[in-house]
Amino acid sequence: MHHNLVDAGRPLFLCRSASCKAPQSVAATASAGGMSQPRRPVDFAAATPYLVHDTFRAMSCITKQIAHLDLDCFFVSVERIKDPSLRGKPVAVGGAPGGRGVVASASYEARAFGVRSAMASSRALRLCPQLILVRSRHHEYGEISERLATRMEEIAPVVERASIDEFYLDFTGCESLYQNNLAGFMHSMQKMVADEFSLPCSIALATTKTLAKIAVGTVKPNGVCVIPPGNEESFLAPLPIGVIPGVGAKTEALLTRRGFRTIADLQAQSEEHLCALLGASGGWLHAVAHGRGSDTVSVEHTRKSISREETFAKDLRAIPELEGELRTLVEDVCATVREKGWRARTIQLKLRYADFTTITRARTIDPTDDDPVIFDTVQSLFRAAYDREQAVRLLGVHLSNFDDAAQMELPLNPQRQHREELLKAVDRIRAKFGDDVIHVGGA
Amino acid sequence: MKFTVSTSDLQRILGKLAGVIPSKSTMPILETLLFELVNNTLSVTATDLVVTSIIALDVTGSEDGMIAIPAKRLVDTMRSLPETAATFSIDTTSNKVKITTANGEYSLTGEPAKEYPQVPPFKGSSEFAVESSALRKLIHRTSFAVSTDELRPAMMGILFQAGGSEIRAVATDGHRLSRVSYRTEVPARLAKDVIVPAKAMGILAKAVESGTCTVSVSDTHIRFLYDHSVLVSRIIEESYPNYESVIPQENTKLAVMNRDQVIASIRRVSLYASATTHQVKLELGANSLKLSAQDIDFGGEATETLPCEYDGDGLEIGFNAVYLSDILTHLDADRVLMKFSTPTRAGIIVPAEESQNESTVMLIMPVRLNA
Repeated sequence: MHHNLVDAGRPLFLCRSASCKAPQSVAATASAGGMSQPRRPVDFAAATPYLVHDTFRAMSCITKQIAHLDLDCFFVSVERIKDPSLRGKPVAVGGAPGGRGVVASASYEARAFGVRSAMASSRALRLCPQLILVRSRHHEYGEISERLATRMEEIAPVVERASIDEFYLDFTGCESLYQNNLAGFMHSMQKMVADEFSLPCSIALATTKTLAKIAVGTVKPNGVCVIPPGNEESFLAPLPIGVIPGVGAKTEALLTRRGFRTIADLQAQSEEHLCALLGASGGWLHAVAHGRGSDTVSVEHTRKSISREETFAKDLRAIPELEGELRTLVEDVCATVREKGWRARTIQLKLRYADFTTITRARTIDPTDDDPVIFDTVQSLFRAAYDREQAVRLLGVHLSNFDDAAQMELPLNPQRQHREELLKAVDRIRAKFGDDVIHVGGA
Repeated sequence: MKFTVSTSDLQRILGKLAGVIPSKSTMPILETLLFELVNNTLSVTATDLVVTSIIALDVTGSEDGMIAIPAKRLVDTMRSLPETAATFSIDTTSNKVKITTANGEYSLTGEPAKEYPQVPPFKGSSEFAVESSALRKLIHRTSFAVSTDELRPAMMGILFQAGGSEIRAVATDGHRLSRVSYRTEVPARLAKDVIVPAKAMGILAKAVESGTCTVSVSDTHIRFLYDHSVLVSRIIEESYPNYESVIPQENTKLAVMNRDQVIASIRRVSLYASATTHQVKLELGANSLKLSAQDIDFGGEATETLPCEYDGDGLEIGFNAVYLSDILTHLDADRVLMKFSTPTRAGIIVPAEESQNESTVMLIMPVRLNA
């Protein structure tokens, strides 16, 4: 288990890989990939430094060591594992061009043609007629991401999942565990992701989260970047302002008009001056330009909510059809809740009309994991909220405010126990024969 | 309106009334206390419209009258003053309240008494008297188990039953249950079972001191009369779940242990339990009780073994440590008897020895142990 302390009797095999050289200064290198290396050359599990880490954290002013791991065109990479013929070709994962499909992820070959995420699939095909469009399988990507996160937790004491394909790993205080060569270890980690998950990724190691994120952008794809403490400003200086996450088109345009081009231009300004220009965010930008920023990698220990949404290929109006969709969403979230061993108290409905007006309605009920109970709640929220004049683009069901289902209840309501047995049986049948073979009816 | 009162006397009754005042209210008048002077008796009223408490106090009065005084400032003032005589001079037309002590003068603005909500007339029927100390015990041993779940309003109060010569209080939140009976010397009878909001019971438990308390119910309210005071509470008009049916009759695995030892042990072991589930495991073996906890998310585990009287088959059962220690701390006994059957059925905890006129049963539902 990942929380064990370092076993003193166990040798640490760290950074055996030949590519582990500590860079003396700012280094940005592209790794060779190394798929032919033997599986698992590094014993990461030996390095689980909770105590060391906490002790270091307790000391103030410690220099942080934060790695940002970014999976390169993640969805495409997953599809390429399943279908190796996609390698080296312009590929995009997303919806079909007929409906309102958009590109969720594009390979670097496709990006060369100007294809970008969030672009309408039809437009992407116009830009790159030979583009291979693959339908998105979000569920599968989530599972792989979760597995990778679990693996990362064996390597670093604190791991934050920033998104499905981005992770922050806090190595502060672990330097000696990695033979004082965290820089070299970044290459080993990249190789591990390639070997064990067949996924290309880019990694940056820096003293803050923001800096690590900026740095990783400079070496994508398949690169490693290490910014040793003290080199933050010199690394940032030549970069354009737009690379700072949080600086949007508007801020960038405003700064460009004032003659700011690179981060060096920002570094030359006082905090007061930037605040006068940009208001409160000026102070933040001043800090980021000097290599300071958030360095707290946080772990979400308990999941706060479970939700499912569906955007329809065509807008829907008919109530039976919409309620049918809601039923599917409810079955989906309920199965997850039961799998986690929870019961939800707060049930929320999300409804987006064709004109993108979005409304949410929630109700708190007795903690439950029962499909029909949750469906009845969602249905009554829906019937009360739905404006029949409008077509619906998206429906979502969101559960939160969970109870621990392991805590048993006094049988003050005897029907409850029978119901539990029934739901368990339904889940087993679905797991074996598929989601559509059985549905739970009303009580 | 004018009277002189000892600051400590007034502070004492204000302390008892402060719990009634709602912290957030859409009606600002509820954040005041109603003062009424008749001859040399001052009555102070606090209400949140569900619970109303009135306490009377002997003062040296000169002009009768009524006024509503902002509670927080008054309570804070009394709390800050040393023991001394304070004279309240109140102009009921301008609502100015002036408090004079030997060294100071404090002025505040009140509200006209007619703005204060009227206390509804109480038309009680059945009535009986009970020792205040017994009432306090009944409340103390049940109130911790009251549910805070607004979706189960019936369980947000303490159920009171009285018949023959027994008064019974019951509370449950679905995870634990407490049933306490007290045999009175004089017959006690309530026309019906009543569910009293937990807040009212908490205020009452703090306010009753010695002597007896007279209890009566009407269709909608319950009233307690004690030491120059009245507490009237609306009752929760719901039907209470059939709690008797969930009390197991066939728990045959019996273990007797020292209460303080177990409480201390749970406190230490639960430091190592998951912060979300507070799960602790109890393992009963021959004359021993092993308590253990494990935190899978953060690492760490703890085990302690205690002596106990037990000669049944081995049993492993999990509990939420908070619920378990809540029960144990509210039992008034040196040694406790735990009765179990299986790891998925309710456990019963009772005092190993109990006085003739008391009977306490506490129930706790287990947590399914991780496989």
